[in-house]
Amino acid sequence: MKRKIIIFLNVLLIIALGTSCSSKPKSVQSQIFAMDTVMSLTAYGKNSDEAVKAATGEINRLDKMLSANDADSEVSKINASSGSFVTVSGAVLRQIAVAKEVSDRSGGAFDISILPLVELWGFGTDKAHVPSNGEISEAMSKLNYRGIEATDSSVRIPQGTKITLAAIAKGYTSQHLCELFKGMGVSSAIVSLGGNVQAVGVKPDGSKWRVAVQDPNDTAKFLGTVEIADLAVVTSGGYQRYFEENGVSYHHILDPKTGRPAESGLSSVTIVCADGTLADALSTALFVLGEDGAIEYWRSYGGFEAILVTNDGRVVVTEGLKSSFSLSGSYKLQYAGK
Amino acid sequence: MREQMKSISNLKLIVIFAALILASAASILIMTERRQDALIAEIYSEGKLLYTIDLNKVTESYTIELPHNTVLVEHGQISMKCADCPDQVCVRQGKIKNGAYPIVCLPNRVEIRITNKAGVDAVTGR
Repeated sequence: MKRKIIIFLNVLLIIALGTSCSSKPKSVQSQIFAMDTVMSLTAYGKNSDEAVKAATGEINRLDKMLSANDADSEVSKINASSGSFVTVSGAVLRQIAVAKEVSDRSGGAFDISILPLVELWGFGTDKAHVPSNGEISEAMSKLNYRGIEATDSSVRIPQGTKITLAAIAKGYTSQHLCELFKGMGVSSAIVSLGGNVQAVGVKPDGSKWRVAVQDPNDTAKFLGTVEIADLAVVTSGGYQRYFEENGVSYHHILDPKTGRPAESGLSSVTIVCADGTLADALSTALFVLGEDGAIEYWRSYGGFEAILVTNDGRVVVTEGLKSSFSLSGSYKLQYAGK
Repeated sequence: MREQMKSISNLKLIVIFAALILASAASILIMTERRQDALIAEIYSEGKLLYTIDLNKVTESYTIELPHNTVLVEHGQISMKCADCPDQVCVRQGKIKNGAYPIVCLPNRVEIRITNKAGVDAVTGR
């Protein structure tokens, strides 16, 4: 009798072990430097090894293709041949299409032809300085997003203009990587490309991913978290990149209409959207537009949700995020409805 | 003779039983370790946040070169590998694994800070 009990218990344990082993999700993680920032990828389940390897290769390929600083990139070729059509990849065509749509809808608050102005101010280099009014006017005369034309295989920018995809490239890359993961059979993954977050599916245990939003006034803290499945979360804020001259702070999100850092009353804009490319472009556009313009854009076009942090201490959240956003910290929470 | 054989077989079964218990315990341990929360390190230069890194996601160590400092990023820990400051306090502090004491290089105004944020899978906004 004792023997039978012991045998029975052994069999039970073997079954328990067997099932517990198979439910353990395999995870593969990778962290690399690219596009001037830290990128981290995490994929779960079978094929995650090959998927992460392939994703790393794609990041490096896209970095070379899109960097305005690399003379061999497609963006540099477009800039060097302004006035003529240049054959480009689908990646560039997609970013230009999204950029044009957001530019038109935001009345020019988003403008990829802003490169002359960015170079003039010198953000990100040790030559960052406040230019003279004359220099700013001269650079602004080169902006012309309306004149950007695209066919299904090529792009032409007006003579004398220069474009940069810096405000949209990371979003495109996260979107591309998530599509790559799905195509390779990975149904649970999350990437963070210098703060551009995008996820595939939900976590292996079935729960949603929790993405924290940095507090623009104290980057060591979070102002809240948003729970997502299969979405991108992208934040733009002046606090991310700026320089100081004579005690005044100048941040890197320039307003194409003034040629100077946007003073729209917002400290940061976070976009939650199914498309990473669109999320990236919108975060910049809505930051420049300011609270009223941002809410109006959301009401007119939709397709995303937003979290706006205002300079006067409020967090305005579009109502689609009511059940997935939770505030932590001392901001005053308001919801914006349609 | 038969009695002896029976008790040896019983013994074998008990040993197998014990081994299986141990194996289950081990697999439970391994499974729970998998669920690692984010361990977020932030690198500041001149008060500006330059990098946000989840140390629990680091698979291979690497360095970040700043103009006057080099940061060594490893799984679960971070340190100032070298600096050109005269006192080297930041380098001697060694590796940090939690938010108790940030690493600060005062002369070069570089700071490495860890924020333990439980339950967060990613941070947006850098």
